[in-house]
Amino acid sequence: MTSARVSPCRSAAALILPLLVVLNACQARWPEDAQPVSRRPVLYPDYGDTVIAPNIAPLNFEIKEAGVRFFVRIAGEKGGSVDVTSRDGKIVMPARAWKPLMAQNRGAAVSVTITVQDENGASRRFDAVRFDVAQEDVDRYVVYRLLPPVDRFFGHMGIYQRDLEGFSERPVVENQNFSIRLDGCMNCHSFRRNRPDRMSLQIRSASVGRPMVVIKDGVPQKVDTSASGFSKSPAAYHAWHPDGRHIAYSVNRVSPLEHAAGEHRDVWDEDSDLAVYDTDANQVSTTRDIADPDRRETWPSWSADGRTLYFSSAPQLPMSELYNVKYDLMRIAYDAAAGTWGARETVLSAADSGMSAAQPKESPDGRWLLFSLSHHGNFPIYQPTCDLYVIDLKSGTRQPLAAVNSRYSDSWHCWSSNGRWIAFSSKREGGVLARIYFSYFDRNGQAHKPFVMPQEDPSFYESYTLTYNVPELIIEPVPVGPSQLGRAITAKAPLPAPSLVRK
Amino acid sequence: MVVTREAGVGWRRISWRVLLAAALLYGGLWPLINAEYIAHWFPAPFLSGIAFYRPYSRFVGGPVQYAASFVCQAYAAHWAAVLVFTLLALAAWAIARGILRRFSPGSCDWPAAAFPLIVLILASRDIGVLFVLPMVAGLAAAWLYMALSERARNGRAQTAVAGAFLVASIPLYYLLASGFLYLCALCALFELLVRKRPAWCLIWLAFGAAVPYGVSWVLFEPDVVRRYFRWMMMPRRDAITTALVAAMYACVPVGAVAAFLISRLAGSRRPPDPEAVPGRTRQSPRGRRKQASRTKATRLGDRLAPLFRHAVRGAGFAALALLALRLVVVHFDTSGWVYADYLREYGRPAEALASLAEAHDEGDPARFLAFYALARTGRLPWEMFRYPQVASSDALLLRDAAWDRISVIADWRSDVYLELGRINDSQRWAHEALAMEGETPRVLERMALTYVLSGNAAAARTFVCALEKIPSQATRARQYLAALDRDPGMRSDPLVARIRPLMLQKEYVGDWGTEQVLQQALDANPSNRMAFEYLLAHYLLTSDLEGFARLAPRLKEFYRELPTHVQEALVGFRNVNGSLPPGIDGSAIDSQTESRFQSLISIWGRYQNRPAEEAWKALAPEFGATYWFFYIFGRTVAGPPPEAGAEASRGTGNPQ
Repeated sequence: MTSARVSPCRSAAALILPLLVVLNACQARWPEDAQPVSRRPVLYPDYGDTVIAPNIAPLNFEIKEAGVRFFVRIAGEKGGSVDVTSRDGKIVMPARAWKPLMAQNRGAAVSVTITVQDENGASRRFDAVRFDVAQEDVDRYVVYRLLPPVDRFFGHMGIYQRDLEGFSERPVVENQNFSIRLDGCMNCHSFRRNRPDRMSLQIRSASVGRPMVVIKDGVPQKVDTSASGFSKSPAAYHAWHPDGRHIAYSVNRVSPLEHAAGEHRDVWDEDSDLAVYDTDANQVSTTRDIADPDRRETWPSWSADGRTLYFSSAPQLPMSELYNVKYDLMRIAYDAAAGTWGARETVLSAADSGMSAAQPKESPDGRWLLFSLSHHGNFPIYQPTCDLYVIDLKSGTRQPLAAVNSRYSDSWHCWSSNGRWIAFSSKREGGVLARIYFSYFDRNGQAHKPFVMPQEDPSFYESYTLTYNVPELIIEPVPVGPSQLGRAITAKAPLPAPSLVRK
Repeated sequence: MVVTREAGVGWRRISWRVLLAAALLYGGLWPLINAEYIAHWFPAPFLSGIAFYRPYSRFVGGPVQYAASFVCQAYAAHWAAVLVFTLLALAAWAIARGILRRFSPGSCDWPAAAFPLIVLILASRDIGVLFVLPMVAGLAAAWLYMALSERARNGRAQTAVAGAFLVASIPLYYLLASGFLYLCALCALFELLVRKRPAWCLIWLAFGAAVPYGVSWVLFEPDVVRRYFRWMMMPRRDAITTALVAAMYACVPVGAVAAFLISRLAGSRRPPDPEAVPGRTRQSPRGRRKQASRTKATRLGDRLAPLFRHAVRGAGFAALALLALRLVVVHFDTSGWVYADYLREYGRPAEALASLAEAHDEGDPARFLAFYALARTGRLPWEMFRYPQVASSDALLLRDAAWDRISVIADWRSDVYLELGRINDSQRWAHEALAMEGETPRVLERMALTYVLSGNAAAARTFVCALEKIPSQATRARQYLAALDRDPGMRSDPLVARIRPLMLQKEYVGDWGTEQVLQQALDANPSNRMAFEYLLAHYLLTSDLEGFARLAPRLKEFYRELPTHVQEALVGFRNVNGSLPPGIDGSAIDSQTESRFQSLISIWGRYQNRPAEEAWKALAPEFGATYWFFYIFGRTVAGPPPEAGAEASRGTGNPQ
């Protein structure tokens, strides 16, 4: 009797082929017979009519229409298409298909056609959603602070960086890195011209004090600027000079306050002044025009060429006149090499705007000045009225970013290194939790409808109770990690007390 | 057949007796475990918006913290909470027994029972599961090490087991944090006492010292002490609790040493090490048990006097019985403001008040709860001086900055401001609680509610969606979302409907005192009864009779018959000022109050020039719960006795 020998390959094929056939049968087919619906589908996040960066991670979204099967076809004007199906309405696009499609369609439009099948098998095809793909990339990384919507006290918080070409997020530093009791706060990180080789941030902690951490070429050191004698207050808002040596910073006596009606959070700035810290010479310098006892100066920011320091300034008023504290937008010439100052001048007075100006940021090409205007005070993130504006420094005209602004606070803006993108924090979804948005800023000074920073799970933001602020775009990852920064922050002794020069 | 795997030893049958014991334990714990209370006292956050334990993955012990948070979600259902405690107790018993048996040839079933008993007592009342899990996990790892070492056929295999564990100690430390110390300590003891290998003992001790430091150096943690003791804590409570916590942490290591010493002292000897006797085959665990059973007569204490043996055994059982009794009694230990707070939050204010009345606690948290529960039951101006009081209105709103960073106080402040109609303040303290406490269901719900009230349904939705992601909360959250979909203002919700008319519409900026805070709430809605009664209480507590007189004309808007303490204050006012406040006529005061006051005056007249203690003793029985008594002594008789009172009123106690 001969025994029949079965080849292992045949056995495997016998098992796998039917499986493939079944899988193929189960695969959804694009419903050609769908009934057209003359409206766009409701999507979350809504990426329709935006201009997106060609190097951005897949813009996953959720279709908020009733149905049991969802078919999405994303087709580029210059060719290429991706089909995605879903049973729960969550459209998660594979990066390997998304990236070539975006690369192929730089500078062109992309349409998203959505068909929804109901439980009876009937299909509806909605009007196509369109978005444009810009020619220019956005900087690959964005660094932001992530924390609960705090009032006065805080628990866990940190500064994180996100790779915008994917979904990975990693901490730069968290407060547990320098205070195991989480009694530390960190704020307002700053980079030099979108490059992480110069970075700084401020620490407030019961255990390690209130130092400024300066990171130069990957080496972090902490500095106690208040030891210079300029001010007892620690450094707060700050900006790196393009030379990578000087940091302009403000000292603020801020205290949170609560409103009994309306938005409950606000900040009162009792007094503030500006100074410049020379990181090489360990020296603090200032002049009366930026540290005027009769005025409050804050929000320092350098022009692209480093010859001008922009800032906000308001007269001293008592707290009873909280709503009348409105900041002018100012600037002053500065020669970094000689350390000399020009005369201050007003760029936009509060009397003219009727609003309070904050967070000036000049575009990398020096043409545009982006800033925020809000009803009062100098803490835009708590001001629902806060909107973004731009001044054309060539013509002097001012205009709101109409396509960008929302009914809630839009603030904490920054430019990309190529000047074609702005990133900002917006509380447009409910007014409490800020999310990072990106808007394409074209050569004519028009900002386009922004899109929210994409997440792998399209419904991520719907239940995410942390808030994003201070988004800063950078072209490379931050060269130091949480451990290194934690060691630097907890180091026993900071740099020797900086010297002080008043001019 | 039910099979399980005994930590690394092998597959074997589970005795039906064990299952029966587990079932009995579950049934026994059913009435003893108050899941609602535990959930209230140890609210575990669950980070809903972030991927699986990612935020916990960046520091030592994060995984066990995540596991504890996850396990604690079981408190939402009584059956699940009891199951968790049953499994925890069984695991603790099995682990303790398994370890102790390595150090003594005798049966350790009963001594090992002390460990789960202590764990149950503490975990159901005094410390969170987070502080128990790392220890139990560390002990389980040590048990596994011992079992594998014993199974190893020769010295080389034993060395391989030890080496593997030492290599694995780095990830183990990352996983267990302080639990790692238990692994090292017990392995060191095992090597020294059982295996007689002092070198390995030293290696384990060295690893126990070096690995936490090394790993935390790489991951960097700033606090050296916490590198070793993360997730070990000694609560600052009463001496019994502290002693129990110490006993829990020391139970197994000390028990192992004790078991070893007793067996040595008793002259019993462990069955010879199979490795040490050439040609002798290894015994299975079952074989060892049989052997132990056969040598029972020569085991523990066979050389001791029978009387002493019985005494030791009796003492051991007595200790176990005491622990078991403590477990039973502790459930019924309903004194203290923590329990009262639980009752209040779960809508049982009358029981909360009864609990507070028994506590004799005049600390601010207890007084706050008494005020709040009295106001919610409409009894504040009738009964507030029946509870411990001191001459301060700080406890009404708990505005002292000393309480600022305590999450439960943030919750309370949010509660009281909500009831007063100060939605922004309620929202503010809900924000603070979110930052301090994390995403616990009660904080998320409160955030949602305050944003619904302030007309921001979109913000409310985010917090409800976060609630939906918490295990066991999804159904409730979906109902909430459906209600928001139907009506973003949720006008049909009874709580929203009750609070909305009380809301402040006028803007106030600044730092206000208790009186202004309450007055603003009353101005926003003159019929805000809670604001009115709290303001009344403020004036009474601060003995501000002028303020009380200003409020007096409005009394008739709220009361047909004036409350007891109001009448007492009116009589007192008349006694001081010669007439009643404007708008109040004499008929508002009943004759009984008048006659009682005359009686008080009469007694007071006899004692006013004598030591205050004598006056106190004379007045306390009849007038100890009146405003008059409070006005004279600045305290009520319901508080601690006068001798201890001064101390007690200063030391308000830390609610944490």
